[in-house]
Amino acid sequence: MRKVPQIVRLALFPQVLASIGRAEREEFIAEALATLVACDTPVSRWERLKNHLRFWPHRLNVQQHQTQLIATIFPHWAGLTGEQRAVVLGRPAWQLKAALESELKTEPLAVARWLEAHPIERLADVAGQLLILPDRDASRLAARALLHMVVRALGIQPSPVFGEVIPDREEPGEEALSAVTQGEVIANIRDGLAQFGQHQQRDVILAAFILADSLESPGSAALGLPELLAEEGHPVQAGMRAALRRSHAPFMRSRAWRWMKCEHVGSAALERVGRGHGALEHELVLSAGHLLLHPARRAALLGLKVGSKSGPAGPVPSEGGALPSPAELDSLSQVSRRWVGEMADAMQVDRGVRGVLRASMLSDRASWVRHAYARSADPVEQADFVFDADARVARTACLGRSAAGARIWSRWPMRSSDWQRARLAGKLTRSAHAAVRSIARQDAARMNPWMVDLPESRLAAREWLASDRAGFLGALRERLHGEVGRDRVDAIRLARILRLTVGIEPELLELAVGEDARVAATAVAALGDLGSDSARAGIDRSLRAEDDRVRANAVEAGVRSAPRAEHAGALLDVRMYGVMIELKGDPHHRVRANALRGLIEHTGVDRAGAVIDSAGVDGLREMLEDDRSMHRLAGLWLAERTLSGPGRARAGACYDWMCRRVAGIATRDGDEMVRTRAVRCARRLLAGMRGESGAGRARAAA
Amino acid sequence: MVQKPITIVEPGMSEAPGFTFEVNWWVLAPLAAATLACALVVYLAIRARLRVSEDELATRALVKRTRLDRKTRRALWRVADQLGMRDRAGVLLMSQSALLAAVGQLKVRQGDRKTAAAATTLVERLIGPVKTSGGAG
Repeated sequence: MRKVPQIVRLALFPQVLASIGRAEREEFIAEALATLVACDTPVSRWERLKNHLRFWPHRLNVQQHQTQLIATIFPHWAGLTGEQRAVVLGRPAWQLKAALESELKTEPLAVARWLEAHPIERLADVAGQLLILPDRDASRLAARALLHMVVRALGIQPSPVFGEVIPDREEPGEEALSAVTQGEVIANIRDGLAQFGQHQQRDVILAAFILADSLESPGSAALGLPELLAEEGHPVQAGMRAALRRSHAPFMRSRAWRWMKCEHVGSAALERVGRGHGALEHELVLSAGHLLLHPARRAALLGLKVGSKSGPAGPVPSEGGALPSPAELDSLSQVSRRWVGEMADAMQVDRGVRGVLRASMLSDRASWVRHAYARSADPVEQADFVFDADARVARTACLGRSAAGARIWSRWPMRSSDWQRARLAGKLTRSAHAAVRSIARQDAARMNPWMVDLPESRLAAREWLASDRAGFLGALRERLHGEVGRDRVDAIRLARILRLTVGIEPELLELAVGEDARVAATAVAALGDLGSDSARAGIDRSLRAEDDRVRANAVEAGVRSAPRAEHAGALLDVRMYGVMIELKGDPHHRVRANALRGLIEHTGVDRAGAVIDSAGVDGLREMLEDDRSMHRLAGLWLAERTLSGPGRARAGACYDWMCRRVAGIATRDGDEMVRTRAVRCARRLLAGMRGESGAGRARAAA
Repeated sequence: MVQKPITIVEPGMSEAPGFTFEVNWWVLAPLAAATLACALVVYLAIRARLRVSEDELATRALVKRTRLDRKTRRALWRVADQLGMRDRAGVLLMSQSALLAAVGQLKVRQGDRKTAAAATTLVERLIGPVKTSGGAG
């Protein structure tokens, strides 16, 4: 026998294996498998010719005979050793498939058993054929094989999530499957679903649920579920409902949660969502809690009733229900805990249970959960959250109570609740979180109309003025008569910003001669806005004040409020001109600078633009050459404001000298403050020159 | 029959060359007969081989390799023909249990004596001596 050619043995072994007794079976199977493998090795040309002549004129198909031999071996599968099985399983999938298909008609149950034990994805077509056979056992085994093939094809690892559907012994396929093979498996599942009425195998539905997360998922589209569900009374609808109701696998609750808004399976899905066994099932649903935001899902949940039982802190959800019990709640992830409260709001839950759940959410260890509920908490609870240790929670709660974006927030005069807000905002300005401090400062300013430096405060003042003018003016006057100098100064500044100085003229006149020099100086500056005779008289009085600041402001205010008149080449009236001439030699630098500015800016110019009266420009030259550093400093301030732009023409022939002087001070002056100021002044003058030359070039080019 | 000469004229030649071929048709007749005879033989061979199945050819190859004597070969084919398993005759050579089962079937069928003798011969040659039952002792 050993000398018999392999090809002859290959042709004879199928017949032998079909008719031998049990005693010889092992020996012959071993020899047959050896022959099977040996026929794969290429033979020499001479041997090939001899084989050809042996069977001439027939053309022996070696692969077909190998397939036939494998098909003969399948019924003896139980008696094969591990190595022998490995030899068969190592054959090409097409060969196995052909062998199985040849055995399908004679031994369907054996083929189904083999497939269930060896769910090779490339044999999905065979399983598909077995599925619709009338033999219930073969059909059941084929459905199970298809389920395993899906698991292997998609590389799904065994997990508690799948429960008994994918047992732990399941090993995913080692080799990377091509998309074509995966497509074959999916196509067979799709056919199995379409023919569900014929076989009624639940494993096919489970495989479909593994593939299809939801009705809109790509898996669902690949299986053609939307079409099957749209078909009126298709058996697969009943199958899906039954699978959702009866399956205890945790992942089915997740699928039920996603499929809930599909009307054909909605009732069964809702029923499954209402049953949550163990923390894992709750985790799977609550981790996708955002789906609750879909109106259809929320509407469906309204019909779900959740049982409760009494706990130490009050009524709590009972085990096995739609909501996690306190013990299960502790083991959930923070993402899932975040949705428990909102889920409870959407269901028929006892009010006490809802309160207990909300309380546990608000005191949750994860800041993310607290953050979610801090936003939806009532105002009293929000006030507590602004002191949260987590900056994000505190900031959100603070923003929730903030006036940011609110047009009118406070009512004037403020009520007790507003005062409470103001007090809280004051406390929060000392919060540990920078964001909270920033928001609280803005809120505090929104509640206080007298913080004139802050825009929020000015907005509050405007709102108060718009809503109650008389009340605001009364409060303003009261503040002007206050004792704190700073408050009075801010009140005057606010009145100027809001253009309310006309309404408080008597108070301003009174304050302009007051003892507090700073208040008086501010009041005099405000009098300059009025332009009335009484205000001018007040300014005149202040021109002779002892305090330098008051005098300086009076000069500035006087220039602003003086009536404009063409006289002696100046735009100032005679009286004010005289005052300016007198004060340009004032010992205080600010007074002197303001007087010179008035002279330079409010003096008439000739056709060339140069000042007719050179008193102002001469005074500026003197200031720049003054021995006193503060006078030089004030001179530089004046030069910066009057020599740039049109001031160049006003200075006329002196302009170049002044520029050189400023440059000289910037490089050689002994006082650092003066030098710095001179540099700034020089930079501004230079920028003005460049701007003019650039504009000149543009004009020339045009 | 008039021999018709064949003249080859190349293009561009001014006059016909002097080469002339003559075909003797009577020579072709034996050649044609021989070719037809060969074709007939091949045809008959192919026809005969095509009537034999691949399995029988494989059995023949096996018989040839196992170097069975003529008597055993004749016994094998006789038994196989009697059992209607000419295609699967190789099984009888490869498997002792199959051979014994086949011989048992022959007993059951009460075949003719020649076949029984052939079966005995086959068993004796392939397995070993056979004890006959029913002797006087």
